[in-house]
Amino acid sequence: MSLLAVRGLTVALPTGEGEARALDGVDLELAAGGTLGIVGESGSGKSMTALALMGLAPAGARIAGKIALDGEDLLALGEREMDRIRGARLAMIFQEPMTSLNPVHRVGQQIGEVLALHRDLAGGAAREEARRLLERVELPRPARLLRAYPHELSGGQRQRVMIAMALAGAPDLLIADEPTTALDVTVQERILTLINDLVDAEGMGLIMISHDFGVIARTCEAVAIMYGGRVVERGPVADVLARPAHPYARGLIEAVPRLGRGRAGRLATIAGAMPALGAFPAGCPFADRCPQAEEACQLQVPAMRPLGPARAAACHLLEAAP
Amino acid sequence: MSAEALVVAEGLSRHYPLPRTSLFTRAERVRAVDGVDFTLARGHSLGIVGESGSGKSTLARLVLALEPPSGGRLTLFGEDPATLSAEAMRRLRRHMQIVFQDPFGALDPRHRVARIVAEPLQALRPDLARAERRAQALEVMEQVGLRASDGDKFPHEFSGGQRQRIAIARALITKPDLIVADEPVSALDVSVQAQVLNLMRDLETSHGLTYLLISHDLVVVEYLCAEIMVMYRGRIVERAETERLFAAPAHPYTRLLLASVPRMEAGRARRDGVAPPPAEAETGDAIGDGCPFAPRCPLAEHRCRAEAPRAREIAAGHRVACHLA
Repeated sequence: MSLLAVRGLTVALPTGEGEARALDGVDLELAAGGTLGIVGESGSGKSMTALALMGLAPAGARIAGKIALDGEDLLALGEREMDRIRGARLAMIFQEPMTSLNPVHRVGQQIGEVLALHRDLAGGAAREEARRLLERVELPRPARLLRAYPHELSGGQRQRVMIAMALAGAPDLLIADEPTTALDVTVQERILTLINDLVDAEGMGLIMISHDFGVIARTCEAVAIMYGGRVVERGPVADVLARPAHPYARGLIEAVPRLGRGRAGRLATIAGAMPALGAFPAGCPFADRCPQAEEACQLQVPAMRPLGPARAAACHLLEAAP
Repeated sequence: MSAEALVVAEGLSRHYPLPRTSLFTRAERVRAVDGVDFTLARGHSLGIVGESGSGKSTLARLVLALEPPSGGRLTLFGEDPATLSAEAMRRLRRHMQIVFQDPFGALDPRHRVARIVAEPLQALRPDLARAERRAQALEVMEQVGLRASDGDKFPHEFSGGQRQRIAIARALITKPDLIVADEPVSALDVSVQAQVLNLMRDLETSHGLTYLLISHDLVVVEYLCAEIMVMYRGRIVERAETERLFAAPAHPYTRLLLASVPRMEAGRARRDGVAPPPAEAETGDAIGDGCPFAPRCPLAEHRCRAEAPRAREIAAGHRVACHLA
């Protein structure tokens, strides 16, 4: 059984003119210990996917579909049951750890809260476990750090503290939403190395959300590319990045400047701009910008077609693999 | 160099005093920019790469004469800004413009776009009639891929990429020779970033622009610049023509930066032959008189901690400040 199976996940947000679907029929699959990257631009729905998985979709959102964690449907759970799962079986780290850490509490106290809530640890046992967790995320002088306030730490150190807090409940799945976007590139490399080591050592599943294909390739085996609230292509990272099948995936990958390619050639671009929420075409969400779009693309939403082992894309113009 | 020098920096420094920790100690200083030498020649766009705290944005402000250096000499278009009258400085300023990272913060939300784009003309060409300023604004807007009808809209009606086009149009309206661009595409999505990078490159040719591009992103600098300087803690540690820098990086910090960029081709395993980068510097690492990178450098020797390396030319146009390079 999969660790995570998402089926037809739809999140509709109230707008001035009725509802707009921030997510529209998202399917995702992750085996225990598996690693999945979710890539997309602003407005693609990648961060909404993470929030919906955590049960943190905005108030007023109407959610449909199924999110099965170890077979248990999270969408059927009440708020109190979801509180028990968040932190214990699902944990999340964000782009800017400063906004998720409480600035007036010491690091040790904040890790202690998670340990009390999910592991029933208090006093000396909690302190010892907090120190061990800081060591686990390779922070030097952990005993001293427990007494520090978040503002006394560097950006990289704060993200390590966030990861330590995420590990505190020994989760089965770690969701990381742009965890290194605000960090310098040398610090990013160290944090990504740490996340990889932890995922391998603890047997956690990982969902890495990023706009950066390099970060996804560095941390994930599989990737899902999102556009307009839908997954438009998925498959093994190496296959998808080398031979993207969906016209949006192809456009996006070709638009990335690559290191060492020099000033030769122009960057490929995608025509037009990302529509606002609720303004995507009725058919394929990419139809307005797609260089190959035909009439059918405007009218009918393409279904995911299998393209080979573990690969699929949602495009009318692709031949499904037999 | 035969091309005209737009900017010449000689030993350029900017130090900020820190609050004294005790009455009996000397006030410490942050050396944001510390003895920087370079020449920016017309048509030879230059990239400055470095991480947060490297001093690259302070250097940009010095070059724009937005703040005075605390040491060294700056020559802009053949003149020393420190000696210029306010009127002469204003004339000089039309030759250089800036484009910032955040296209949202840089545009006044209460004004229509045509007025925002025309704004630099108000100070520089007060003789122009309002209608003439507006006509010029609409003309540059079309040159950056906006429509003339966009002139009557407000900034919030535009996407991030279009707002950056507005900021570029405003920079172009004074017909500058030099554009200092501080992280111009960092806030943009990948597909929009490609559009803006292509535009910037087109304008370089069509408008005879030279860029001084500040970025943390090596890939962006590589795409736009003929030459690259790598900054670390206020100093230029390496400088070379773009191709040369990527083919033969000589400073251990440059090599660390290049090895740290996650690449689409790489898998989850660490790339072969790349040692894990050393620990991120802790704030307040005392570097004393040594090399600023020594506390993180995997190759550092005793000498590196005792004595700051001077920049040496190791190949034509390739300068490195490292004892071991």
